[in-house]
Amino acid sequence: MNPRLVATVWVLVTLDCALIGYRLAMGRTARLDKRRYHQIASARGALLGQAPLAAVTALGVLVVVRGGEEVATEFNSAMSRFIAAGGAYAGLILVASAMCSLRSVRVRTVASVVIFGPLTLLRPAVVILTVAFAVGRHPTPGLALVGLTVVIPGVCLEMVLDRRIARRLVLHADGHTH
Amino acid sequence: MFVEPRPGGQAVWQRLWVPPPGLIEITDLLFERNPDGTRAPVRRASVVQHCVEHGDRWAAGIVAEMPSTDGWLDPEYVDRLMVAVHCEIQRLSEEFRHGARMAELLVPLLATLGRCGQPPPYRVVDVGCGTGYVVRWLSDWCTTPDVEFVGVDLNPALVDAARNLAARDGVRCRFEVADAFSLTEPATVLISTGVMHHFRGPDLDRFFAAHERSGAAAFVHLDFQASRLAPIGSWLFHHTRMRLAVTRHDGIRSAQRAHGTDVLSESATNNAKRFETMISRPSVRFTPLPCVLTVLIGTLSGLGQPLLEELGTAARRFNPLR
Ligand SMILES: C[S@@+](CC[C@H](N)C(=O)[O-])C[C@H]1O[C@@H](n2cnc3c(N)ncnc32)[C@H](O)[C@@H]1O
Repeated sequence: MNPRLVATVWVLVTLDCALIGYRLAMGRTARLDKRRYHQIASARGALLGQAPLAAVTALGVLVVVRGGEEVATEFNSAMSRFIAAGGAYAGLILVASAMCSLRSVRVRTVASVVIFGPLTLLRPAVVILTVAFAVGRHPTPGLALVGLTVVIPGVCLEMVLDRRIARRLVLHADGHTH
Repeated sequence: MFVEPRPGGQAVWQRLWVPPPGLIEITDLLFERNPDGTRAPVRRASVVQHCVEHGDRWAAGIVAEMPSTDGWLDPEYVDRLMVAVHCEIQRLSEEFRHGARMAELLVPLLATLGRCGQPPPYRVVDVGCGTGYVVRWLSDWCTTPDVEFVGVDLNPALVDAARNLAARDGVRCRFEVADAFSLTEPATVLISTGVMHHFRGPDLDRFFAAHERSGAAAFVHLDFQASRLAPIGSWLFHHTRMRLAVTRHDGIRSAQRAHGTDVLSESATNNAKRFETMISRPSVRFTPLPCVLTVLIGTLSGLGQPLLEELGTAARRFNPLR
């Protein structure tokens, strides 16, 4: 497996985990200055993502080691496609983030409402399509298995955590529930 | 343990495309006052019945699952729910930059007052302030002692939360319990965000009639813009951003309940007669795209034209004075 590809995928997934942490923290505090709160939440998301990421990578390495040269090539192409599709999504997020740093109230509103909103809604579909595109039409069982281990937590983890938060929101509500 | 009730009864497309005949918001139904101002207990079955009578089975399903004791809604739960809902709603205010939008309008407005013979100090009162996001934001942004920011709301639980948040934020502002229909808080400028659509029919007239009786020199109200796209945009926003069933329900209904610009203009002109009013254009300039927010501004007669001059290019966003 190409280590540069592995590192790039790792960075992309870690960024996504940081954004999950950020989203899970949103709407739970009514304080004005939330910068530190959001920084900590993003860091926590990125950190929490490391264990499953390491597990999936270990599984990938195991499959490649057992499958030999051909499987390694298949994995490298899959990672390249994952980076292309995931990178495009990340690019959009970066553009919207850059727009949010501008002074214009209207540009910032458009960025968060028109770009971040739909992207958040579409994220589960983006994860499924990106992984499907990466593994291709006729993947070997090993690659399909690794694909599944990316898709399932990638789609479900945020939903499960979000539901848990929703259940506890009212229980402790005082305007700055953490 | 309290469990956040899940909506039931109506599919998403029905919630959006077939609004119930009587448009209601759940948060309006959970808090009631006796004539002497004290809190009145609320019977859960009556609220459910009210939702059913207004054709809103989605709301009825949400309320039916709220905790109650002997059939009365648990007041502690209702208070915490209200604070949690407003904490979520703040995301909307943050993303639409309600604080900065209000500041953009207040600067030329206060400058106009100063130019036209009303010198500082000024008191800006946010009516229906909820947990006070806009007031806290403005107090953080404008620290001059010449301008005092006050938030008023009918719900004491929200006023308490707003006070606590202001203390934690370290901002200088005040929050009081007060009724929008009988304003007791002296004000130079009355402002509000996301409140006008709560007042339906005669209540909207009563809201502006209270402006007429107040000593205010101007008002600035921001609310959703009524359009066919608004409920879809609101569904998208609330589905991706909000967790509580009540917030999601009320968010969509708010967009469906938004008043048209004619309704707002007419009610303001007829009931707040001391004021000249101007309302923002319903669509983005040079496009058919509807604006998300409506801005209604009123100034004492004679101040409208100077304000338009003070607004500069931003004046183009408004329809002519009435
Ligand atoms: C949708 S919330 C808007 C809160 C806040 N302005 C915001 O933008 O987040 C409407 C608020 O109006 C308040 N309200 C409703 N009727 C009122 C009345 N008659 N007098 C004062 N406040 C009222 C409610 O308690 C609630 O906090």
